Amino acid sequence: MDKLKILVIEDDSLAREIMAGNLAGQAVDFAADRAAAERKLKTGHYDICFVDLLLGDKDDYSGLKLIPLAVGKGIYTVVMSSCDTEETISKAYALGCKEFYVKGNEEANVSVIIARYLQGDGGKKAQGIFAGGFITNDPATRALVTEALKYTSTNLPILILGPSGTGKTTLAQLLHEHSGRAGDFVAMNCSAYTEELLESELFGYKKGAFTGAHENRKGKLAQADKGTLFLDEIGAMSQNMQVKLLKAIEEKSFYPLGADKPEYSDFRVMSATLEDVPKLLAEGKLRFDFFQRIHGMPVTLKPLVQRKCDIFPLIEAFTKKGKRLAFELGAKDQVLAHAWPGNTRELKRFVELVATGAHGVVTLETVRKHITPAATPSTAAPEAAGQVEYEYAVKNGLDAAVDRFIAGLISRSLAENHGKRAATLTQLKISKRLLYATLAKTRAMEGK
Amino acid sequence: MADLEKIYHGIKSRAVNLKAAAEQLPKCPPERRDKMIPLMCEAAQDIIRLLGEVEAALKP
Repeated sequence: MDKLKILVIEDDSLAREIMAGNLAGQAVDFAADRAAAERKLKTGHYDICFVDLLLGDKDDYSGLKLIPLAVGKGIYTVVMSSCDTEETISKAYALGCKEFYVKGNEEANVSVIIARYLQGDGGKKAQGIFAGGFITNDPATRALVTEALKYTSTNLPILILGPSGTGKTTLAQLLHEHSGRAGDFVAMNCSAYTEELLESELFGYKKGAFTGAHENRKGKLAQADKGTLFLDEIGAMSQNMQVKLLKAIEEKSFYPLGADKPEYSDFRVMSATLEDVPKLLAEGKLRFDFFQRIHGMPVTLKPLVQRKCDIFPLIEAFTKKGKRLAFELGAKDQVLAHAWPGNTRELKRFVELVATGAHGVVTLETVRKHITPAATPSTAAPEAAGQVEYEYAVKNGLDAAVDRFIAGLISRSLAENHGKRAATLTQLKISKRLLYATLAKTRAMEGK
Repeated sequence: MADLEKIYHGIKSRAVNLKAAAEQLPKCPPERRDKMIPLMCEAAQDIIRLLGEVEAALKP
């Protein structure tokens, strides 16, 4: 990496020496007074300029007067001053400075400022992301992602909301890749584990901690050291687990199962859910203190039906490395008219099917064949029950028929989720009590 | 900014610099340390001078 050209405008010789230490490895130039600073700003080329506001004991905010000159030359201008009244801070920002810091923590602040500068202040980086990693032409989504990118170099948590298939994990991974964090992106779907499994997956365990723990195993928290821990479907996490995780997030330390000493991990948390967060909080499924800790910067991704401008760019992206597709007009209209309840995931599956099956231009017939029929059971009028269900209800009563219907849905969901009960609880939005009662009834019926 | 406020600012600024320098000092190579210590002494003397100015300004 080329050295950054940095100008430090600072009257105090000790402060200049400290900055020289903090900026070691960069091409640093210094100006001790306003005249020298003006001269250097006019003739030199700098990437970043650190400005002290009071240049001398009797000075009258000379630094403020230098900000427009630096900003006018396209220099990333940062104020570092001990003078931090609200009025001064407002003035400095109004004049165009990008960041304002109070002196005293330069060692940490300088590295954050450089990281942020190198990441192009969000905007430049976002252009690259929209061209490849996260396809969207929707202005609101672009603005949200651009805003989120500004937070990547910090340790602040990010909460990504949105329906299933809108690209929450993809976005989290991209944000991690642009965070400058050296560690891995470690993702886990909380709904895919039972409470016990989730605990051992998150915190890891020591040999002999439980039956089957034949060796030490690193948990996700340890794996995400210096990286990012992405928790998907946080609403599926039990209250007990939320308390344990909250402690680990706050203290950056945790006890693996069976350990008597804590382990440390410098992980950054990103989380996601497709559920309604206020509802989760109101129902007590999400603890308020845990929510406050993981909330940070919220990013809400819209479903595809609300950003139809993204459908064809996404299709183009999915087929970039393979067979390209062309749609006849009617087919195009049909694609745009569809609600895509499965969002990007559904669109990708559709593209794969069409690309494999279609020859030549994609016709309306092909689209109709591969598109998922729009299913809107919640708003549609109730359908008449099938003959079998009807006869069962007549013979055994409505309650028994409802129980049988519920058992059938739970059984199907469990099968689809490979027996993972936590996933079924989330998918069907049912209580643990109902799940276990139904399973017990089913077992009793099978035993008869 | 009133004069007294500027003096307070001067004290704060030098104190903060002294703290930062004291944190860097153990990690400094000898030649840099030799440069830093006189600058730190200078900052400490400045603080004493500025505190004298505060005292004088506050005298009724």
